[in-house]
Amino acid sequence: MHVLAGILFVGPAAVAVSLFPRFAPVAEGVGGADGAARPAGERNVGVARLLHRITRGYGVAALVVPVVGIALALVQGRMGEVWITVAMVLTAVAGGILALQIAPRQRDALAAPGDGRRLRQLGMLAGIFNLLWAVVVILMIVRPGSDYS
Amino acid sequence: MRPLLRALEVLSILELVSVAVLLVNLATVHLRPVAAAIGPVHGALYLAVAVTALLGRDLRPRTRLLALVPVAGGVFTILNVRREARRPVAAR
Repeated sequence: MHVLAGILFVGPAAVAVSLFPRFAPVAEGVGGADGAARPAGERNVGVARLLHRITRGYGVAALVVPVVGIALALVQGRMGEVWITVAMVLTAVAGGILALQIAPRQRDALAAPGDGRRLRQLGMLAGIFNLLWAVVVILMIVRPGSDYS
Repeated sequence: MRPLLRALEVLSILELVSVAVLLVNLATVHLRPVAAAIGPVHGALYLAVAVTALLGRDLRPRTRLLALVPVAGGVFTILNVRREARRPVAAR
């Protein structure tokens, strides 16, 4: 159930935060690096709004993952093992980035389209968020410091 | 008060309570089950306060750094949240 929740809830949130900067609206008439007007392309406010909703909804649902994980660790009596401690810290940082940085920045980007600079920062945060989850998944499989891995 | 500050206030109060329980237990009866139960709880609360203070938007550097101090971080954060609440939010 812990693994299933991880796949079903964290996965969509990770995809949504990665795609958001590509679809989020950019202010009209803002030129690219070469000064030429940037084509509207595939930018679409509706899609961006949907991605923002997915980010928020699945982000909240993903809270199940650490809750079940901590319960499992307590039941199995592995709370002190180092890989669990490291994974908990990384998970807390990832959740903090999602709830305190990515979601509010997405809301701002939808409310007031900027010149694209803030969207690139959002892309960077999405990369960090996904990288943290990749590290946590590796920890869950390799389990360094576990007695019987 | 902004939702972020409200959350930070609640978390820091809980952190302070948990560390107080641990210290009182250590100084008096020193029951092992109490330490085993509240210890991880305090760790989780410390982590929650630290991450919230570090990543929250529009907080002063002082609030972020003092939230990281072990043991006393809860007290500092409760005081700093009051101070942040009085300060006008920076225009974005």
